[in-house]
Amino acid sequence: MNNARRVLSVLVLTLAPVLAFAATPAAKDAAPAPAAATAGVKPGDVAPDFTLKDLDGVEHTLSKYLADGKIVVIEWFNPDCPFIVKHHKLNRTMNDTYATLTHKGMVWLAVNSGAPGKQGAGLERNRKAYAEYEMPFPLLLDESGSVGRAYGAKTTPHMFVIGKDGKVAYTGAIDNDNSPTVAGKHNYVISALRAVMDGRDVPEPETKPYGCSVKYAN
Amino acid sequence: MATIAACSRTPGEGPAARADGSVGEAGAAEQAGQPAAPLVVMSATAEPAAVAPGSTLTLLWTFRPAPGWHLYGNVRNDSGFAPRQRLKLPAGWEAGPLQWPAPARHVAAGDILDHVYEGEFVLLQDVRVASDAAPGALPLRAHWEWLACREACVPGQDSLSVTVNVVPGARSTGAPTGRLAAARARLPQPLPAGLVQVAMDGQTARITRTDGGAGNLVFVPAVDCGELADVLREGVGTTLSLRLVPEDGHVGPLRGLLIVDGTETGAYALDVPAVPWTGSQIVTTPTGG
Repeated sequence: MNNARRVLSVLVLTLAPVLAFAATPAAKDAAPAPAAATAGVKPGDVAPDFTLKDLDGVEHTLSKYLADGKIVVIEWFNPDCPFIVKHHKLNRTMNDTYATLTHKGMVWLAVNSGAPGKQGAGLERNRKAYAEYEMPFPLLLDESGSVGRAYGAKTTPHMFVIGKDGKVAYTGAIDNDNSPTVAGKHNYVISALRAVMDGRDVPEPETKPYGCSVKYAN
Repeated sequence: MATIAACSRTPGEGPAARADGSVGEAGAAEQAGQPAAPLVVMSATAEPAAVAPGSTLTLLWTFRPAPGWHLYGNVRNDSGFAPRQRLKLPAGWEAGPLQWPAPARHVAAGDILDHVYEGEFVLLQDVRVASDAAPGALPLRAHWEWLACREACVPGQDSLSVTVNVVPGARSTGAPTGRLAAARARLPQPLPAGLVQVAMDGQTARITRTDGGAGNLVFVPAVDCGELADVLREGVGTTLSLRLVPEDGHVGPLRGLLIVDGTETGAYALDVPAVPWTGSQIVTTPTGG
């Protein structure tokens, strides 16, 4: 029977982690097992819509950009996280990535989900950083953290690329070097954007993001 | 003396260390006109004191984070990174892997799951001395970098040198010092017989205690553990049901540390091999009794 449950019982027998397999009848109940993590979005999921204000109070709505045929990059941001400093100041990874592909119909939104009072949060601190880092794209505040939690944003930076179809095409790191100073040689977001723009499958739709934790409200 | 702690140091903290007034002790001390206390103090020693060519010594890398600050374990974490080492050894010397004590679970708002060290911890590393090593004192140098976080995160680095004394014919003096013995005792141990049962039930690994103990189990996934559906919620309990996510025709391996609470908390290495997954072993909820 294809649907028969088979239980492999793994007994720990000796001092070393030597494991023996033995078939035993299924006895316990079990809930259906979803194959994906419970929080956040994965490649292929519909990107949750949101409206957030930038530092000038202007609203930005994901679905409006998608309706205009844009590809949207979202970068989770905290001006005082060393990994944001790495990519916005020590290196110009984010500005350069934006400059490379923005003329092809891409919108970049930096989102700060830090709660009031936490490191890197607040209008004043972000205005200062926005000027210092010469950011060429909007910086949106998500002080309640609701957008960050909907996406499952864990780190700053944590990158998401959303295709014109409104689905997540890429989630993960900006590049392949998680040191706090050295930029990686492979920029995953550029690879993902080029694939999306060319109508190809993204070669690595999911990587492990690295950085500081997002400073959500407790 | 053949073991010398931490000389020729060049400690430093990263560029963001002063960008944020909330970094705590360091910033407060600086404002008071005193040198900032480092957030992490490192030291290094080697055992035994004298080593013969071709024999093995153990390096003890000790980290002392400031109160309230943590460093990251070398396991699967949502943020941060584990301390990284660049060790320079003379030709013919060989270093073994770093041996890490079990880190503690650390959950932050937003379902961010990390495994960290708060307070002093020691990494061990065996080094085999070249069989043709010349007699005499020799410094071994290592550069370290790490990320220390409380709420804010501050990268740090240090360069340390440990002098070892190569003495032909030197013999190990037997029992290790208290520091080395204590550090070894904190390393994860092989799973003892009769402590737990691990059963793969479809996609789910069920871990139950078989020793009669009632304390919690904590599963800490290794970096190369198979993908887990929700280790944040499923990784702690008196019994564990860990859902694995099928990848490329298999689930698992279930690889990491199992921390067992009881009269004495212990950490054990767990490594359940990957199981083929065809998608036909569907776990269903039984209907009726």
